[in-house]
Amino acid sequence: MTTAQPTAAEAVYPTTTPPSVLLVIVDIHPLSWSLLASPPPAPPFPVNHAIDLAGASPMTLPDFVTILMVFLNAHLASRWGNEVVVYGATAGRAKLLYPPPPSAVAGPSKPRPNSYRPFQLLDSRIEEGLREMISEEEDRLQSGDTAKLNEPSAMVSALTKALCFINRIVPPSNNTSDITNPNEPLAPGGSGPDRPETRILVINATPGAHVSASSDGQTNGDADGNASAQPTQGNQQRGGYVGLMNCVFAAQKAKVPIDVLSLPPPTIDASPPIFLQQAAHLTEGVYWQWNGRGGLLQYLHAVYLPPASLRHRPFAVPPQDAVGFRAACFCHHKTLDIGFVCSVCLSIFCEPRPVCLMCKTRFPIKSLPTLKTLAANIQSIPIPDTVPPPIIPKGVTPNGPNSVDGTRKGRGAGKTGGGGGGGRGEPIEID
Amino acid sequence: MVQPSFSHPKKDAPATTSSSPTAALDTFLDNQHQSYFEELYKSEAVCLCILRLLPPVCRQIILHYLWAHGTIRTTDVKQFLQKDIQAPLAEVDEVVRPALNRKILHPMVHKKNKMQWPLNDTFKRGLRNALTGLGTSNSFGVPYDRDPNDEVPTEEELIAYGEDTFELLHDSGLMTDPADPSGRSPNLVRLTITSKGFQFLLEDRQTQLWEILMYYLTAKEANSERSAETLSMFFSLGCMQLGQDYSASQSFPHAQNALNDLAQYGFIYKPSEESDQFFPTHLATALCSGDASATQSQTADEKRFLILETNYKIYAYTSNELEIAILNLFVDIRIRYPNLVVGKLDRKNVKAAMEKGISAYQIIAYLSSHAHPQMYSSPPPLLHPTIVDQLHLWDKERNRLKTEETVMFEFFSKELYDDTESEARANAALQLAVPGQKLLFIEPQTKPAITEFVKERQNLLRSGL
Amino acid sequence: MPLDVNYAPGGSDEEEEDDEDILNDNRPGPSSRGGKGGSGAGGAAKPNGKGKDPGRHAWEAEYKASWDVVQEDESGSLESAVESLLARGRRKRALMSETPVRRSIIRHLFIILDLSESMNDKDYRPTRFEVILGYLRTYVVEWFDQNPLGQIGIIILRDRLSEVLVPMGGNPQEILSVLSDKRRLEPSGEPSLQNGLVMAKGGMSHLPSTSSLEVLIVFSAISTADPDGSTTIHTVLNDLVTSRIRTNIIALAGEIKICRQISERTGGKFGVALDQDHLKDLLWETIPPPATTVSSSAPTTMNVRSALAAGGKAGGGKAPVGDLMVMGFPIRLPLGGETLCACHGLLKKGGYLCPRCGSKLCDVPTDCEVCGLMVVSSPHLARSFWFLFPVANYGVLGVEDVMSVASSETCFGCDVEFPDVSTIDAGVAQVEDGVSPTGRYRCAKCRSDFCADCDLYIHDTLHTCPGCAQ
Repeated sequence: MTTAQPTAAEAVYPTTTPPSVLLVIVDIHPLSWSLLASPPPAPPFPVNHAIDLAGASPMTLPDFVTILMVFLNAHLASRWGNEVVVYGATAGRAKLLYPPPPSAVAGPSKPRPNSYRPFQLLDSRIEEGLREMISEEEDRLQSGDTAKLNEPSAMVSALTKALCFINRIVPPSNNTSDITNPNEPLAPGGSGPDRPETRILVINATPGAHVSASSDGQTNGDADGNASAQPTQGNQQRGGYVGLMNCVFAAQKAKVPIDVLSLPPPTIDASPPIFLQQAAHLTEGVYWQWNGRGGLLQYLHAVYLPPASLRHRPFAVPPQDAVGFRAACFCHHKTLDIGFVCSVCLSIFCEPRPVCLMCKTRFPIKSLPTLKTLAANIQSIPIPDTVPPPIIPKGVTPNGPNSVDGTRKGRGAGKTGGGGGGGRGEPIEID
Repeated sequence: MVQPSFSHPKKDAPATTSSSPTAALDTFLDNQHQSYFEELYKSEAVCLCILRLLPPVCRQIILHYLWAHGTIRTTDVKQFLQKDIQAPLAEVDEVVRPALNRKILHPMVHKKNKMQWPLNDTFKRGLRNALTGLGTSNSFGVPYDRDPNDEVPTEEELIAYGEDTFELLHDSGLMTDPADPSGRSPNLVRLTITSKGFQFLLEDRQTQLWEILMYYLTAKEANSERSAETLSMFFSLGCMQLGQDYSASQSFPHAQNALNDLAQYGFIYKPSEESDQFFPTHLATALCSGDASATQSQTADEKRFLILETNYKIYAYTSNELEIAILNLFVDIRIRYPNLVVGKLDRKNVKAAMEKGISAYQIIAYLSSHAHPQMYSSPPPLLHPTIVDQLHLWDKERNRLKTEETVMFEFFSKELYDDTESEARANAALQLAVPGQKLLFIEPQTKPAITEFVKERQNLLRSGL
Repeated sequence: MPLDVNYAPGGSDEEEEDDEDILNDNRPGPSSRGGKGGSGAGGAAKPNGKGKDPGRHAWEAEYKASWDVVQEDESGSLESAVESLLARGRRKRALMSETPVRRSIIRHLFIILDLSESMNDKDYRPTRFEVILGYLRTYVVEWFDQNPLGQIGIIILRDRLSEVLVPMGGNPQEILSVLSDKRRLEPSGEPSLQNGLVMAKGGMSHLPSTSSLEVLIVFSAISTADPDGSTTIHTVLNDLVTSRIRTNIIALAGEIKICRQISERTGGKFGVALDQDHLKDLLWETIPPPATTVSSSAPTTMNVRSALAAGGKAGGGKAPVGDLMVMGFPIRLPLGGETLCACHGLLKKGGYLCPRCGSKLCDVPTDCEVCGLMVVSSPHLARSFWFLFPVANYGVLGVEDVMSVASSETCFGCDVEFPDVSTIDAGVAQVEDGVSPTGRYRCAKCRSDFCADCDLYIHDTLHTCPGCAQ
């Protein structure tokens, strides 16, 4: 929070920024990465030469981790006092990868003459941590503990851990009334170190709108297994929708933006991870879906590097897509456009039922048939595609103005991607 | 009488008080040429440090385009900064100006109706290598290949060593000694403080370090030695790890002499004079860290020992000879106990100090930066306005009269006087106007122009009659 | 000073009463503190207030009186005070049931703010006015946090008139911006309680009686200047009772009989603020949604239009206890070009698409203008879900627990290292007041260990256990 000083014209841009702590949550679910490493061929869309020239590139976990390390180094490089915290999230498990626990700080080998020591420590520890996690996964597979392997990545667990971490390093400011303590004199130690600003970057690799939203999403195909569990116990929501939303609200309170980078390109899954998208939207983070055509290093630097205190002012953030504010129902964990909500406890259900599962309120039996017919008639409208599809056939544009917005974004992508789609005419500057 | 601005010495402080700890470095770099930077940027450590010294917005722009292929287009920067595409170029130019000054960006080129700043290739390569660790220049220091059983100084020992050596340097920082520009063998007997020396004491640790290094560097330049290698070594040292030992010959093959000099200053610790092994101390490793918290915490508490009362009495809880000597410059010291000095600010001593070139601002800055934590518990103005005002008044006393050359105009006509006065005022040529006697005092160099104006005006008024 | 003794901000007996209040909120009558402190209902509007002990009035008390009380409580060491506070928080939580409670979630609240001359009194520092405005700003934010589907309006009383400052709405930002404009809120004249209540009642008359209608009055004066005429404040009170408007009154000066009557008869609470902290307590007590016990036939909430559409005229005269509401979760459009909205017919940027008919709406929650579907943003609903899925309480781990069972060395939440067990003196290390001697707290469900900071954070703010989320 740099104090705005609108008095002088030159004070428009902050001269210093607080140190920034970046918490990265990397989805390293093996299934997702095998999908990313061998993406299905693009659907036979009409060809758009400007974009297709780049071609879809497969992305393997080691490749990506290399890119991520450079990005994290750049974050460390951009200010003294910047910190990085990395969590790995895999099937049903989340773990802190960096910084290492103080007990295990054995310090890797000797310093290399050509890399900055903090960079070297970070990179080697991340690599080590990832290897540990993956070998643990393999152990689980060998030991036949496959039950958890089918779960999606434990994003929620990683998010809660990240928020706890933030709560520890930046305790909430005195949230009592701010009128009782007028300008306290500064501590004798001078202005002291600035309060660090924190942000979370979620790197999602799991395709599907249901990612991390439910413990038994459609990706696993065992939706029916858990559906009959008694929801009243309140513990069936392992890492579910509710947990994610709670994280979002806690992040909102702590003013921590949650940035989301979704790796599965549209060729793997066209529907965005809507709950992560909601999270980014609600916490004023940046949501971006990779188009599967390389340039990730540039994307990371261009989109996710500026700290929160420089975002929006002065730096532009990429325009955000339409956000579907859909919810997951409590009974079957389906993602809903239109749901049935208990008026007493606000639980969401995907079908009319006579008794609320959560609070046991009896609903009037008379209205049930009416609701049933209603439910039968529900068909949702699609989310308007604000990113322009490769080509827009005549008459299919759902809403004109939005596609205008989308083209601007498309151009931005081309530009940062190293001139891949830079064929558009730039306005000529006259001044 | 009492001007309110006295209570805020910071705002009116002369421009000499540097805002950033690296001001000395900045002025040095501002005077260098492209080729100098080209040589500097061969070292990845330099690229990293220079990047961090840029203002945050500029820094982000550089990082934004670091991995892009093309050049940086002005229109893109405008868009990134959410400015109108028609916005004047000066607005963007101001933002990237620091990068242009450091030759990170080449001057603007026009190509096909597009204006762009090409990124310096050497810098780009250097920074990319710094981030990926793929460089070859060994700029982050080659570790010394030592016997694992060798005894290694702990971090605390290194810090203590650095502090001790620097204390000595501190004393010498007070004086100017033209005979010994490197300040390597300070003459402690001659303790005459200068304005500059006093200013030096007021700075925080990092600024002091950079001032010394830059002083050293300019001295080397004066001897027509190449300083780029040395400067690049400073940055490399700043990126090193406290407690780690490095090999001197492999890390800095071309700057052995300078490295030995730094050992004298306490920046590095060498087990023996001719040893190839050296340990950077905290003075060196904190060179480039922006907040320098490592060095500040060392001295923060010791530095706060002064209690100043509104009756001009000063209580200094210190036994540090240097501090007492400084106090003695402008304080009439009455009582000395082992850990406490009591004295009084009085006109005679303060004016004596001012004769030596120490300004009221410097004294005030010294008093407030050394104020005891107890002083903070009273309501905000740390130093009582009475004392601050009095110091300024004593300062003013010294120069009540100021001589200046002038040209006097005497007028008979009121209209002509008024017109000329407003004209002179508009051109900032007026020194003094005495409306009662219709006298104007004008800057000498503007005399011809004003005379011209008066004549013209006179004719005009006459013809008007 | 009997009351000062009774009112210890951290007194443990008080706390337990508070807990009861939370569980049994719809109990009619004054708040526990008002009841204890008041000398019966007879004290009415005399300038001396409660008469018996003038020393205890807020305007006569020393400014630092509250600090004295705190110090008395502390019995010397600050650390023990902090610890006991912590422990009390834990105990309080333990008393909160882990099963979901039914609560009225769709609330409509009018805050009636007395802006009479007396608000300039300086018994709260700097003035009552400043203090109240400061509290209200945080109050509004907190209120919307816990009542995402609620709406707040603000009515101010001054110069014997009442004025709607903010009409009923669900946007905290709008209210905050109005509340921060002090010049518009300059206190003056006398208040008219009657006018304010009539206006509040009028403002809520279009709302169905099935949603929870509430009025919160912050009353600073000790008298009310009501208009002459056939309607008196007593008839207004009867109207309030018939239209089931729950009225909470917080008096800053002293107890006033009519205020007590109003709140008692409408099922609200009445309280006199003793000092700044108490005022905050009183205000904050009204934030959680009023709980409704399952057996009671108290009216709960129902949706406005869709419930009618879906359920017909359900139940005739008697409101149903609960109902299923059809709700749509919209799609938020990016701030691209301008399109026509269905609600105002204006060209606007952004907006929301109704998921059923696809028409564009300016803001949610609302009923779709075209198809009548109730459109809410799902995060709005999700804000209240932590009521439904409370985090299991964490148990305290004693030294022997840690010694006997292999336990992790770091907190599962923030990955901080726990203090070494072997260094803890076994003699002192007994579980006391819910504070763990080993600094470890274990979730009963997932068996993960947490540090005290994370324990607090998870239960107070996060509402999700990192271990159970795996």
